[in-house]
Amino acid sequence: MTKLALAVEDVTKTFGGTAALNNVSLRVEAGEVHALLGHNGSGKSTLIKVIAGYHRPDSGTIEVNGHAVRYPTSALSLKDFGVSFMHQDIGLVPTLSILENLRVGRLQTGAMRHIRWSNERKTVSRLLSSFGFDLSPDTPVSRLSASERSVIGVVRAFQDVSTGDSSSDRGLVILDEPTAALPEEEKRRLFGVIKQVAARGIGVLLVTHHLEEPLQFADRVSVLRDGRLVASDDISTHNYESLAELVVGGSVEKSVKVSGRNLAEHEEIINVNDLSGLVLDGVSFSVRRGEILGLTGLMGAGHEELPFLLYGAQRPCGGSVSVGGKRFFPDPVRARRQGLAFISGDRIRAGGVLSASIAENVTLPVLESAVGKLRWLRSRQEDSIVQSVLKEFRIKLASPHLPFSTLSGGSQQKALIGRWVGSSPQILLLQEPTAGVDIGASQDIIAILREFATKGGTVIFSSEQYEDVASLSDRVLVFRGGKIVASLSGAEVTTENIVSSSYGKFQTAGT
Amino acid sequence: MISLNKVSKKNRGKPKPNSAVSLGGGVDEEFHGTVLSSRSMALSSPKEFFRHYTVVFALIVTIIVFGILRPKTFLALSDIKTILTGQAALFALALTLTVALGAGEIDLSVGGVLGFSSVLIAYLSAVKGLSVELSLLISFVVILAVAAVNSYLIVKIQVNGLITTLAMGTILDGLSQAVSNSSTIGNIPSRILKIMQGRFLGIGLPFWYAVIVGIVIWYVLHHMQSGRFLYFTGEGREAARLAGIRVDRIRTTSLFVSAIGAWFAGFILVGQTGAAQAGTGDPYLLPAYAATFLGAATIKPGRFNPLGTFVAVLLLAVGTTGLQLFGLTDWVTNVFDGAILIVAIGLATLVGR
Repeated sequence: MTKLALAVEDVTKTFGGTAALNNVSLRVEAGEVHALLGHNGSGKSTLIKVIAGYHRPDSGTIEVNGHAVRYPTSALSLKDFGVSFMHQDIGLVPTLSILENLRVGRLQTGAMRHIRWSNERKTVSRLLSSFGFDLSPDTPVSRLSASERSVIGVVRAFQDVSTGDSSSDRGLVILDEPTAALPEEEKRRLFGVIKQVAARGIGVLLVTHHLEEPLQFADRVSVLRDGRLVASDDISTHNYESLAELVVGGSVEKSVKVSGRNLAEHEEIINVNDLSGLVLDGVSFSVRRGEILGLTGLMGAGHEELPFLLYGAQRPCGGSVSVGGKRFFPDPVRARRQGLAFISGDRIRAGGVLSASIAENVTLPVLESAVGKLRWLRSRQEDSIVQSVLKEFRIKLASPHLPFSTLSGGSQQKALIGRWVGSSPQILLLQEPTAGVDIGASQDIIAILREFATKGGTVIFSSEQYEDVASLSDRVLVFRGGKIVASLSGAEVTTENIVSSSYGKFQTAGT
Repeated sequence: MISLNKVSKKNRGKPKPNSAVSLGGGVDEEFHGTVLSSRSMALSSPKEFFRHYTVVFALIVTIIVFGILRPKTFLALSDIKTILTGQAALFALALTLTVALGAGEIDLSVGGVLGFSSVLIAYLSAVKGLSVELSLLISFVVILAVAAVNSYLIVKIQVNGLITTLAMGTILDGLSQAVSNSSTIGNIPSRILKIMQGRFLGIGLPFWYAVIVGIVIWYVLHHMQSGRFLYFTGEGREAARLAGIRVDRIRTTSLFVSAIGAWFAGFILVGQTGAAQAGTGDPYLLPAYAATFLGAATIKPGRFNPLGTFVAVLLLAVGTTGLQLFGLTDWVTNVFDGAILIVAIGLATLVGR
């Protein structure tokens, strides 16, 4: 029997009554590249977090290299088990050299604790050349290409579990979306390295969205859907269609749609023409008054850029936008004047101001209405604005004069959406409105946005929470590689259609 | 750049620890109750009350301690009037600095601006014999130019503000030496002295000017929309920008306010001392920062606020004067100011938790 790098046995993990993982068993053998597929909400990230020790499973066991993982686990003890992670953002310090990035924390020191730089240099050169790279260890990471950086990330992850002796090497390297930032041709190079890592006796767990990757590079593939492991097979038994079928499956509709809204008679309020951004590549569409338009796709497909571009939070690389028939050059100040409002998915940095009070955050967009004589802000007026927003959107709190940071994530998001809805914009732009909030809050948010649209407001939002996109949108544009690949409307708006078009499977007659 | 986090752990969830979110109905009566009582709630518990008025208590304690130890000299009314008059320049400087810090900008050039403006006013009016109005106007315009350069570099080009203003302050110190030829300029026109040496209720006019400045700043920061926007810019620039606030304009304005405040403090000093020399501004830099940071730990903890700054300047002044009454000389001032700045930042951090 082959050695197991990872053995997950019957792991179940529930969050507030919902099972994120339901009796999942997964085995990764030493020396294989094992791909883990599943769309957002499938339980993929929960599984990784359980392995990494962030979450304790409700039941079931996890063994790494034959040792049972005990909770709580720290990053340090995981290293002892022989597990290392490479996260999507790799986590290299760009101003430091390859050597420093690879060796920090494990530099060999001699007398008087001085670092043996020449030894270190040799070690790193040997390590790099063993993977077929002849980069100088002193090169700053900032000068490396994106693919070279991910190679360094993989090499570092390998080095962290490697004993240095290839005959006895064993361990587990978990790569989370390693190719997210890479152009197609550079992926091959990275996967070459990943294959070599596996060849040295390390088990590689490759977490990815992209179905082609396991087909080209993995030995085995496992698919999670709705918290269950639906397949764990040899890759040779699969093709693109069969994998897509497994990933998409019969995803359940979580909430019932209000359908039958006829928007054809509403006027078009915003027209986007040939708009390009960093990923977005010349997209055109228009949205009607009262319509809820969902923008979606796999991570990095370009949909997430659109709210930023339309609001002017980010500069477009080309194309034009018109609002109400007039050409509009997006910029936050002008956008506000045009009746646009934008709620970023980055609540910490670009949402509410955490140190300011809840009341101050809530009244920010509508402060003008509380201005009295001599430009004095009438606090009673302010209080009543706060009160009506908090009441309307059912946000419960101790005092609106406490810092915004005292609210839970879901309440923060409701307060932010509430304050903008309260400022009666024509168009509400949102990025990931329901990400990172609990299920109750996300249902509330969906209800708030629907109500806003019923009253004639336009909602344009980007999201990778496919169920929420399906239950909220009148129409969905699915993006892939910066282009619109599908436009779903009416009865076509289902989670299944959204997910399958994200993977490039489903084509509608409309596009 | 600077943002004092005023999240209070003790406060979190009070008075009902489990009341963060509720989606169910039937909370309305309770809800009304909490919202209406909220504004006063912040001060309801003794702990909270103390948290808001730490510096005020410190001031009272200092006065009492020195009053007991040196009853005759310290509590003499004239002394308090002298303190207020003597600290007028620091009041003006620290209050305007509060605006810049509130907007998230650190302006270390204010010491240099203060020194340069006093030397320039003295030089133009006493040495060059220009009229008082013209001297003031020219020096004012020069200082506006300095503020323009500062804000262009910091806001537009996005250079590190700390370093830029530190360098700018040093440049201005050098220019002060050049203009004054490294010597003291005397013979200040009597009209300038008259503006600054008059008294009202026994306290020098400069103090009252500073009070007016403080009231204007208090009004704008706490009771106008622009003040709210300024604090949002300082505490969450990106969030403020996305909310459609013109953050660049606010940051620029705040740097102009701190420069103009320093110019005015320089003007006060020329009038009060009847002389000017290079380097007079530098001893004011640290106390101004000590006062603003200490002020941010009180009245409205976690936020740079003019009332807090005002109380903090008083504490600094009373403390230094008291120590000097014990026969401790000038070096005490530096040690005291430095120690207060450290205590202030420590306090601000602790209060912020």
